[in-house]
Amino acid sequence: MPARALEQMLRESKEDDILLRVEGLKTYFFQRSAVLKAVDGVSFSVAQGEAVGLVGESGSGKTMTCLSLMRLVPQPGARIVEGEIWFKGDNLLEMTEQEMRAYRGHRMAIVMQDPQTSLNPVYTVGEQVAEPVRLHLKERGQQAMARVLDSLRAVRIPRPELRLGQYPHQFSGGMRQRVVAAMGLTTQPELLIADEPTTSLDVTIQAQFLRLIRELQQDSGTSVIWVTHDLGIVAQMCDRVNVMYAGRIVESGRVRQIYKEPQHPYTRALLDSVPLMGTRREKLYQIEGQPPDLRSIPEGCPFWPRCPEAMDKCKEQYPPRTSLGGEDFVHCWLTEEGR
Amino acid sequence: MANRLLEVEGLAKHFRGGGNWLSSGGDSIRAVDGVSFSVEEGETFALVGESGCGKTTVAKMILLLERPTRGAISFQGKDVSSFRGGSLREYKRLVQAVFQDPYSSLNPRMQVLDIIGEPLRVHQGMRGRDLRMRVGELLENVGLNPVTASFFPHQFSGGQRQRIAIARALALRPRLIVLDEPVSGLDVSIRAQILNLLVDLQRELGLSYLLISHDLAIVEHMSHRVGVMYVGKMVELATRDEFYGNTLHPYSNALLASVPQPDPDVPMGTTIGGEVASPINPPSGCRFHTRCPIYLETNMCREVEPEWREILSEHLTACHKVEPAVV
Amino acid sequence: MANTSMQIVSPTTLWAVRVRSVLGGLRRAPKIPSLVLLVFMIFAAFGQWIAPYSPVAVDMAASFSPPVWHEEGSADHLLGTDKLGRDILSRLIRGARVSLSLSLFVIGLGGGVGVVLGLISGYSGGKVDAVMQRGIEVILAMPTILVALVFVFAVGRSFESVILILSPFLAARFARIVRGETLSVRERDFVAIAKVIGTPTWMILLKHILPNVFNTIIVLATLEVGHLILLESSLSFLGVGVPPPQPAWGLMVADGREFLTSAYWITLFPGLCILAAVLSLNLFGDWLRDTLDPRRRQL
Repeated sequence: MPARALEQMLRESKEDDILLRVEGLKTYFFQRSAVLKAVDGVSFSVAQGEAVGLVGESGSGKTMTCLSLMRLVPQPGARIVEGEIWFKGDNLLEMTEQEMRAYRGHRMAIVMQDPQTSLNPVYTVGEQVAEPVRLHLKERGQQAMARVLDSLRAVRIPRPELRLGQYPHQFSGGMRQRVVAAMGLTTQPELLIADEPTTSLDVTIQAQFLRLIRELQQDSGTSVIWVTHDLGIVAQMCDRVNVMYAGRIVESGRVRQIYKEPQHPYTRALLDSVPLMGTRREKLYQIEGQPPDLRSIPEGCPFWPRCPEAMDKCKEQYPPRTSLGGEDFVHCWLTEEGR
Repeated sequence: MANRLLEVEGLAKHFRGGGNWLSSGGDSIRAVDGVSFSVEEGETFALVGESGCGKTTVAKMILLLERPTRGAISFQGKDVSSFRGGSLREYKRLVQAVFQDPYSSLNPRMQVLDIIGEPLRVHQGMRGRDLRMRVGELLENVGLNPVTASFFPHQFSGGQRQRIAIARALALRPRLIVLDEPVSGLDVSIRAQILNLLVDLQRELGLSYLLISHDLAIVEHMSHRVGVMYVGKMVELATRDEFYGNTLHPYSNALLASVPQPDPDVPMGTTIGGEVASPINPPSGCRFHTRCPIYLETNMCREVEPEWREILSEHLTACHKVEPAVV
Repeated sequence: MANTSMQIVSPTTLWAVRVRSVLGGLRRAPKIPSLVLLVFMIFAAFGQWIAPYSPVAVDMAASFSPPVWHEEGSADHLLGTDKLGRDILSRLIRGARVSLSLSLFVIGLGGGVGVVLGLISGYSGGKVDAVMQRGIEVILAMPTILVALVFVFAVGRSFESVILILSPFLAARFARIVRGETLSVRERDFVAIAKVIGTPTWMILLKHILPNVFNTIIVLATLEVGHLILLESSLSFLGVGVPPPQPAWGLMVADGREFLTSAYWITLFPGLCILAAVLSLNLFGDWLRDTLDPRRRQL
């Protein structure tokens, strides 16, 4: 069957520049009386050197998706129930804990929200940045120090030789977040997960940090997953966006496409509900209701109780994936029925 | 010109750092260092700035939670520090607040009826049926079902809690509500609900807002006039249209340029380097000179504190580089 | 926002929520601990009619008779007798009053004063706080037993003097912990809002701070009961506790120590009573804490 073979070949050539591919990931929390479906069938991919956004509100499952990628879901309580996470040619979910350690902090790094708690107050900054170097690159002494200095320089920390010997409390919030980034980047990971890294930073400091990450990304070709609820950051930093709601990706597309022509009513509502500088609106578009309680996600499409265009069908069945060309897709009966 | 409701003149707050009442402590922290502005009847005045700029301390002084080191606050033309007894009670009735964190601002041990009813009990001795009627009415005003009066705070989501906090602030029919980052603790989809509610309430009840925020997009949406603070000082004050259309101070420009726009076709502006200066040892001269992109190499910016002056009508700033267009 | 169908918050729903929560709480009360405490309370209140013998009736002929399940034991003394032939069961029943009421009085008096001082100290801060904390440190630094010895020798040995001397120590412990909690609660925004509203300070303390430090108070109180029963036994052992022949569990434990190998029952049963009381109080305290906390009280 030549057609099948051709298809196979095409897929493989495309696979080559895919760094991370997540297929049908499900991560549930098991509680005494309920199962919380924090991540409920998430699929997306990240190409080499690409910046991908995971956007959603609290409880949408964006952070839990990232922790699942690192296989760091909270224990006990949460479990990855189903799915595949392909990093290049390896399924991370089939690895032993030992093998996984070689990925974590080496080939994939994470920068978390709070620089306050990501650094240990009793070790110097130099020691902490050197940790992944010792652990993964097996470098010590002069060699390790040189690498630490390089990465502190890379994140533009002034006078790194001096700062090396200082403790986290001697750094400002913005500088601390740079140290965390430096820690993640010393081993030159292929994938950087940025989990709301700028929420605790001031606007001007946030701008500096965003610029820095973008430059590092361009220089090193690292892929980045941005987890955020800030649509501004996504617009500025990402090539692709995945919009999450109640544990699923409801829409996925290239940034320009999504911001210009959002297909899912939730995406559209999110974009309309944020005040936009320069465009004065009498009234902001208002999404009614509350984000769903993960213990009792509505039947059908979880967004229907808040959706202005909800139909009867939406209450009964979760809409299938409608391809919008290329990798882009949406889960909405409106688009599905429309075509 | 509208009626002036609140006026703040040369307000300053210095904290003594370190030490206690036995040892006389270290350096003083000049959290707020001479700030003047006013809030007119029915308008929203926004105080903008980064952490440590002193905007929250200004709010606390207006709410009488901190005592000013210097300067005066006057309300409806009368000096607030002279208020005693009845006039003080009246001030506390007319000025209310909504804070950022809806989880911390409601007592977890109280039912909603008691939370919203507290100001009514304290000021009007309201009880029984009257109290329940009024609380029910207030809950409806903020879009909640009156039957929720018997619930406890943990039974609500963040947005609903913020509505309860707003209902409590409205209970005494105040004139001024201090909004300290009222939506930054909320989910994106809930923010619009709360912002719209605040705008509607202002229109219906003729309220004045003092909005404390770091989010320039929200400030543009909500406010009539804007004041920008940097390390305890006001650096620019203008009407909203003036501020967003004709920004004068380099710090205000940097703030505006730093906001990532939710539009992939609007690239991020040029931001500034450096860290927010510390109020413990603020830089000499113009406090922004250490980060200023248009900093004069003469000693002027470093040594001389720029004068707070009106550059255009109702547009004030403190910068050596900006020349007054009208006098 | 004119509304025609104004719904009034009905007083019945408000009370219904409260009553339902109390009932729901009672339903979940721990069964065995409640029962144990109930029995002890009945002993304390009606001991004189329940106890088969007088707790001080000496019967030298029956001294050291073992409990009924031993071969030499008799049904006359179910739990045996002590060296003076006094009936252990009767002494346990009558001793409940002394042991429990002593703890209760000390917790009530010392704990009450301590909570008030802790609230004031923590809420006011500044000089008031500093002075009060130095005072508390002085009390905490004093050796309880030694001070009690001196005090009892000075004023005489009685139930009241034991209460009087133990209360300040307890007050200091309560004050210290309540102050710490108050310091964190007073920084919460709802306290700031109450000040903005103009709520009087006493009302802030009573309605905002106290309910939120209540957990700690309950936990501390239940822990302290056990501590107090043991402390009372130490004092009794040193001869400055509740004066004999009034029975008290701690005193009974102390009495039996020298016969531990030959007549274990003299120490074992009062010891078990202390254990049961302390354990039950702790479990009961946990339940009380959960019941009073609306967040844990899921209906």
